[in-house]
Order: sequence, then C-alpha cells, then structure tokens
Amino acid sequence: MISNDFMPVEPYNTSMLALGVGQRAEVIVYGLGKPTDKVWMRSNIVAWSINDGQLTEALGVVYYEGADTKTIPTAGLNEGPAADTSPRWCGNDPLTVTVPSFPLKASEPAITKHLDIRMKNNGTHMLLNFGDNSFRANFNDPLLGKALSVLSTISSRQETCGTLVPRRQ
Amino acid sequence: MALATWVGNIQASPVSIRSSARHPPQVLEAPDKLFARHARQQDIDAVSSRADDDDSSMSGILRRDFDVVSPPSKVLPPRSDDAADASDGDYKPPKVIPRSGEEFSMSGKLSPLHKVILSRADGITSAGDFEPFSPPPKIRPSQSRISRRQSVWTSGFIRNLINKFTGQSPTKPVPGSGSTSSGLTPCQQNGPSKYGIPEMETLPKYYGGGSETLWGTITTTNANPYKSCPQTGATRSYDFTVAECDIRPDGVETKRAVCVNGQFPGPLIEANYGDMIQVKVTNKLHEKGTSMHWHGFLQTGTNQMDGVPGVTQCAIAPNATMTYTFRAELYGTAWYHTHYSAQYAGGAVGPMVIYGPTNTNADIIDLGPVMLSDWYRNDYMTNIRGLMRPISEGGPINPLTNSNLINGKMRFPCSKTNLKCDTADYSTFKFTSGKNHLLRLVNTGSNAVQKFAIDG
Repeated sequence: MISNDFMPVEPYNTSMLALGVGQRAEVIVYGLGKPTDKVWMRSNIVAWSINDGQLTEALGVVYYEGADTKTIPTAGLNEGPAADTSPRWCGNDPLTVTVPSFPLKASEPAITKHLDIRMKNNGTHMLLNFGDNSFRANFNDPLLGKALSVLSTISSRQETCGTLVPRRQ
Repeated sequence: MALATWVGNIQASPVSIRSSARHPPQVLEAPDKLFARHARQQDIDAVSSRADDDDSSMSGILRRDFDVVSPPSKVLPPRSDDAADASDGDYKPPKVIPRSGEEFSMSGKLSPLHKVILSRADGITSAGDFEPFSPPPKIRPSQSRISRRQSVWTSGFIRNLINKFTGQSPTKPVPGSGSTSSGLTPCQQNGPSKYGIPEMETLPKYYGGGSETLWGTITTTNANPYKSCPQTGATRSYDFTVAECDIRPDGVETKRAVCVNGQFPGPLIEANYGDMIQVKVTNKLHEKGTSMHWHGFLQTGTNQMDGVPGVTQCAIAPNATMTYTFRAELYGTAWYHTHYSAQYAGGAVGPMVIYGPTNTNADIIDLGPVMLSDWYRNDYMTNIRGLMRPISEGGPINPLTNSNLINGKMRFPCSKTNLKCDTADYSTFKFTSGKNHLLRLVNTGSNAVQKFAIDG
C-alpha cells in the first residue's frame, strides 16, 4: 500500500484492505505466482452495507502471462483473504499503519461544534439532519453565487469596517 | 507486496470448460479521439512552482526547494485560509430553464423500490439457443457525441425485437460454469469501456511522454502538496457526454443506466501533477439535469468547478454544455461522478489518474484503475423516489444493492434471477510472474464498503 486518497503513505503490507465509498488506495502487488497461474481478485461488500444478499462478492481474474485465459480459477466464492474474520467491520486500516509521507499538523480549531446526524421527520418526509439542520438546495440559485454576492457586499463595506472577509486576489 | 503473499484456500474442484473465443473480434476500432490517450496532450510549456509558502511551521519537515525550470515562474497566489475566495468574482451560473418537477414531485407514479426483487415473474421465461444479437462492428461515435446510431444499436430494442419475432430469449447459461465464454460482447456489457479486458493498456509513468522534470525535485516527502503545486502549462482536454445507455455490467438487464460517452465505467482522465484539466460536459439526458464532480480535487480558486448543483452551480440542462477547468493540484488516483440526484449510482462515474511523485522506485507495471462498485438494477430515479417516499405512503425504502462489480464487470448467476440475464465476463488483469503491479483501487459505489483482496 503506497497511497491513500491523493496522499502518499509510508508503504506497508496488507493482505486485504477496506475502502469506503469514494476512497482510493494505490497498491503494489508482487506477482508471486507461476507464469501459468490464474487467481481470483475479490471485493466483498461488508455485512453492514445493505444489499439483497444475492451477490456480495465481486470477482475479477488475474491471469499470469502463461495462463490459459479460456478458463477461470477454481477457488469458490467467499474464500481466500476476502473471507474476512470480521465481516462487519467497515473501518480502514488503523491510522498507526497509514502514515502519510508528508504529515500535516492539524491546527487548533477556532470553533468546535458538536453536530449529531439524525434522520428526522419534518412532517411529511424523513430527512437527514446535520446538527438539527437539513439542507434544501435551490437548484436555480446555488449557494456559491449567493456567497459571492454576500462577499462582494461585505467587501465593499470592509474598507471602512476592517478585514472581516477573505481578501480578493 | 503482501497482497499476493497470502496463501489462499484454493478449492481444487475441476470445472467443465466450454471453449470459445474469449472475446469475439467485436471490439470496435477506436478512431481519432476515443482511446488515443496521447492524442490530445499539448506540449508541456514550462514548469514553475507555486509561490514559496512557508512550511516552516511543520517541525521536522524539509522546506520545499523547487527546481524551477525556465521560463520564469508563473506564480499562483499562495493558498491561505481565504478558502472562500474565488479567483474572480464574476461567477455567473448558467441559466437553467426549470423543467417539469419530476425530480422533486412524489407523484402517484411512485414505483415500489423492490418491485423487481419481489416480483420476478416478469423476466424471460425460457432458455433457448439464441445467440444474442451483436451490434454491427467498426462504427464508433466520436467522443463528443453519443450518436443515435450507437444508442439504437446498443439499446436492447433491436435485440428485443428479434427475440419477439423468433420467440426466443437469450441463452441462460449455468452459473459458475467454469468457462470464460460469455454470452455478451464487451460492448453489450459495458459499452466501449476498455477496463478489465485484454485491450486495456498499461499506464505510463508520465502523461504525454514527459519526465520527472515535470515536477522538478518535488518528492512525496519534501513538499506539502496542500500548499503548492507545479504549473506545467499543459492543459488536458476531454469531451464528455452524459446520456442514458444500455449496459449489462453483470449480465442482467439494467434499467435506464446513465453513462459517460456510452461506456461504463466512463473514460479515464489522465494528467500530470500541475496540469490543467478541462472537461466539456454535455447533457444528453431526457429531461434530467446533470453535473460532474471531480472527487478529491482541491479546486483552489476554482470553487465554481466543483460540480455540485444547488451549491456551486446550476445543473447542466438537457442539451446544454458546461466546460469545467481546474488544476491537478494533488497527485495519485481519483474519480469523477455526476452529482445530480442519485445519478451516479446509475453508472455515470469514471477514474482519474494524476501522474506525480511516488513512494517507490521499484519497476512497476501500472495496470490502471480497479474500480469497485455496488450495483443496482433499478434506475436511480426509482431508488431515490423510494428513499424519499413520503411518510404518509410508508416512509423511506432503503435501496438494496443487487450486485457487486470490479471495473464494471461481474458474472451474475442467471439462475438467481428471472430478469433477462446472459453470462457476462469477469474483469481480467494481466500479471507477470516476478514483477510488481500497481493497482489503483477506487470505491466508485454509492453505498457499500468494499473489502479487496487477491488470492494466491
């Protein structure tokens, strides 16, 4: 394992790795097999991720250079390193082993807020709430445009009021 | 390295082998642009560095020391806490004419989410010897257009028509038959995607024949990529069309999938660390908006290119185009996906590779992206309608993942479904004994955590 989500990490060895939605991992796999070998590549949905139970293991075939590509590996489903001893565990490898090559120190937060994530009934629908707020986007009036117009209003004021807002380059 | 050192519990059961050509010569000629990875790259003009930020606050970290190659540096403003600052204040979101409120309405047409799972009687009933219809080869629309020709040929329309007239249905093979022979062509399974088939090329070390001088003396350990990046002066241009597509990633029919350039997963975006990436995204969906999000990109000074409707832009209206331009400020593996409703669960995703410094000097065969993805048979609107079902009608239905894919492929056991199903191909990867292989794993799914391993 050499890189995680656009961040190179100090290389470490693993036989299996977990990836949440959107996560990336760059791995170097040494071709340990014989030239005629063919083996399964496997990816399993963890038990907590809701599914209909019909097919939770995706397979791909690794063919070595001399393998018969008209046949597939004989190992069955849910075997090998993908046969997880803790199939419900959704975490990544522990931070103690995923050490970034260029560590960044987190700065002290100016504000700390506690936000609970909950499904809440708003009278008609169940909505995800983030710290008691749900977000409703106006597709015809994106927030960034609003933020910029607020910024330009404030920045015209800031000349007299000081530097409250980001300086424009 | 140890991914391959695990010794698997190999079950030595013999399997019957039905021999057949692995892939019929169906893989279509790719003219000018589609797969010519190096066709579009522009000459690298210059390498220069970002303004010399102060990294000294990081104790024990080497201060960055760029080798600046001529011409003189173009200096980008340093990144600061002024994160909200856009490069120019004249952001004007494209005007979108509101369409019918289908996306937002919970009309009476609400189809129960698990209709497909619960009532499977609507599937193909008998197995026959019918050979699935093959699309005519040698015609490939240009990347900028998903031509009508393609959508007609690859749509199940003609296949269905033939089935209807012959009274036959596609072959329903025995699951796990131990053969690589497929009832589907790669194109029927994934559109013109090259991932996971022998035609997939290995990736270079640098894009467009460059060299490590592209990023000077920057290594993974001597520079903070979040504070600065080189400017290569090169722009990598891509042309995307988002449209409905007829794909069968695991062999089972899929309803109203959404693809980029007709393929699932979408085309690979490649660039070098510090390049600009420019993607023209055209919406050819019927009465649905779209947008493209570049997952993991910093968008310093290009906030409006982040691709989130309602937050950073108006959705791209049907038949409208938006050109995204942003810098590859970080390096490694990433992906893109549409960010409109639950659209990307329908297939509109693809990989991105930014060539840059790496943590290894080993001689490596870069096998490219390995995308891991859950998969739904229902179209994304059915799923999202279920998820947003009003309480008065019973409240949300959580969509259940129906399948799991590697690089958009898997062989679903057709005996488990009454839906139209053909034997599909697994993704394949070419390894060389005694060599190192780089796999760029991405979870491009929309729900499931994936656990990846290789036998052997």
